[in-house]
Amino acid sequence: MSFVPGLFHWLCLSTILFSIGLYGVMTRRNAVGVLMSVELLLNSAAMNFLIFNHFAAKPFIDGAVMALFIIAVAAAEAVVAMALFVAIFRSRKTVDVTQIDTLKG
Amino acid sequence: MNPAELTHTIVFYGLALVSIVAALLVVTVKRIFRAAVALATVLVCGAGFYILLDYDFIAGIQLLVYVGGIVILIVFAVMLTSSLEDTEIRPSKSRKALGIISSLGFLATALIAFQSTSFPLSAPTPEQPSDVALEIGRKLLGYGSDGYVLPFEIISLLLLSAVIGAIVVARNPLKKSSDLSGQSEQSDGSAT
Amino acid sequence: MLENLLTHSAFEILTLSDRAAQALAENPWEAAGYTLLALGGTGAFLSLLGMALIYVERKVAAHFQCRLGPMRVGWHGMLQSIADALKLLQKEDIIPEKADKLLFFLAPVFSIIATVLALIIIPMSPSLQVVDLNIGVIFISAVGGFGVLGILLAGWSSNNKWSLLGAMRAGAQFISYEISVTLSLLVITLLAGSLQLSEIVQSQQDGWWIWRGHIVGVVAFFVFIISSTAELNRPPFDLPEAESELTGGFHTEYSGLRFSFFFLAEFINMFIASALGATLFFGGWMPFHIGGFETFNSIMDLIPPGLWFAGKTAFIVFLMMWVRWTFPRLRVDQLMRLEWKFLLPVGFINLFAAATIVLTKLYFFPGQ
Repeated sequence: MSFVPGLFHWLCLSTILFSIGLYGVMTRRNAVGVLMSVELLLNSAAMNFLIFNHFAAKPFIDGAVMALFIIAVAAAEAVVAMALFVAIFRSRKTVDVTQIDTLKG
Repeated sequence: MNPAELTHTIVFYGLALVSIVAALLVVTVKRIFRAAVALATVLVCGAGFYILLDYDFIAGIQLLVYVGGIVILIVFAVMLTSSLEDTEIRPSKSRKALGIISSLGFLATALIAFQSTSFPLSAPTPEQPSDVALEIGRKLLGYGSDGYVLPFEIISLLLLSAVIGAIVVARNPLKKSSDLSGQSEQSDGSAT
Repeated sequence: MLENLLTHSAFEILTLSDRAAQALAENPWEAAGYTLLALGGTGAFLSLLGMALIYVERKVAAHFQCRLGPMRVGWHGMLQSIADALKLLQKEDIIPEKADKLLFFLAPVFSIIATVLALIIIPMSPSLQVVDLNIGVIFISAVGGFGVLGILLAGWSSNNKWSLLGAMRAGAQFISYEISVTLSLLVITLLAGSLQLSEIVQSQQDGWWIWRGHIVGVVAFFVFIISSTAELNRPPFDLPEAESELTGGFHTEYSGLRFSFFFLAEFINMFIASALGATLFFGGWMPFHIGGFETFNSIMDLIPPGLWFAGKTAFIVFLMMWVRWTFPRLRVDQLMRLEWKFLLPVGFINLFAAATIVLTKLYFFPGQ
């Protein structure tokens, strides 16, 4: 197997980044930390679109358009999440996701 | 291996190493602000990867939106909700184990799937559109079978509703004055 | 040589990175030489320019206030900045006991890296540019984000409430005014049809965009100059370091060399904003041309392009200093109102008008 980065190497990279993000989403207690892990997931998904576009659909650039959409969605998500964190912190004085459980019966 | 390919390979592995280490820091570091700096590193490396894949324009947008916008928003969220001495409590052992098992399981499944699938690769050096930014603009505003004008409009509506929603959610209901003075007072409260 | 200058072939773009890439195949040492020249040149330029700008700022301020300014060190105080730099380097480097040491160390590095990254893509003359990126305009507004990240890091890691407040003001101010800056850059991108800085300069061969784009160009220039002054945290928008309210803002806890990094980055960022304004609106190194008047144009070509660039940039720098020593500081709510209720709508309407003008070719000398 050659070491020159091909499709498989690139996919390995984006998958590793995705699984690190997955771990973060499951273990982070601070809500801002969860948001950061979600950004990791979105970033590796955008990277996947570009990787497949580069290796499997070169003359077209639809994958790049999809990556742009993902970046836009990530921006919208970060804005709303920050507003929610500020509102939650104002009323509960914490952003620990394990403490925010008033809906629990 | 010619020099161009060699530099390409070295840059790829170097960036991959940096971004994986930084990503691990993002999910494990106890001080949340340091995690934000590590996230910025991962995203900058991401822009480097896009340049390696010949998408300079997307790399520029990644830097502009992620580092100039999203990371700064996240840093703001950190500043408003925690203080410098705050460290995150370690996750419980069971939760940690669950996280490791599920992420490693996902990694293994995906890698096996990639290994066993033969993707229909395009020819080694096909023509890249001469101006990617121009081509993306055409796609975004084109209609018909290969245009994205409808998703483009939906995304713009999504962004607008996100901005309005954020203002409504974050506004202090007790105060009548502009929400900006409320914000600076909030930061004062978290700093002291 | 003279003949070469009179024809447009004198404006052949040859950046340092191009030279290095060309030399790489035949003579790697030459390529390494160009790389070293680019690195060392940028470093030397950065520090010398920073000191010169600080001197000029003090002199301009003094003359606006009817005093003389630094007069003692050297002729008319020319060496004052060097003396100050030496004094700063000797100062004790204090790190607060309860600071986050790693981030405290990283913050000035972020600031200065952002500055260097922006500096290397400025086309100072056809052959004096380090790299010529095809996404130049996007890149230059993207690296601004690193700079403000450095400020936020400084404010957070100092563990001081004034620093934190200053940093938050800086961050809010930056993301607000970044929108207006980008909108006015987009107007010129539309007119020039390119994101690459060297191509934008060459698109002004028949005239600078500020007069070829008439109303749209002038409005875009004013939006640009106001919002980039705000982005640079310069007075009258210096709320992040308002010394009467926040002692020193985000750099309250910094001293010695680390403080000088922030100080240097601030002044070089002013140069970069001015150079960007000169490049986009006043044609960068392109001499003053009027399409069709060949004799007039060739006379203008006698002045070397580097001098044109320096003159235009110096003019905008002077404009910024003039504004600084003339207007009082804004309040936070006035600052935000100016951006969101005035500059942003103006910027959007202007962008729309620019698109219409480009489509109908209503600007001067539309060419082919």
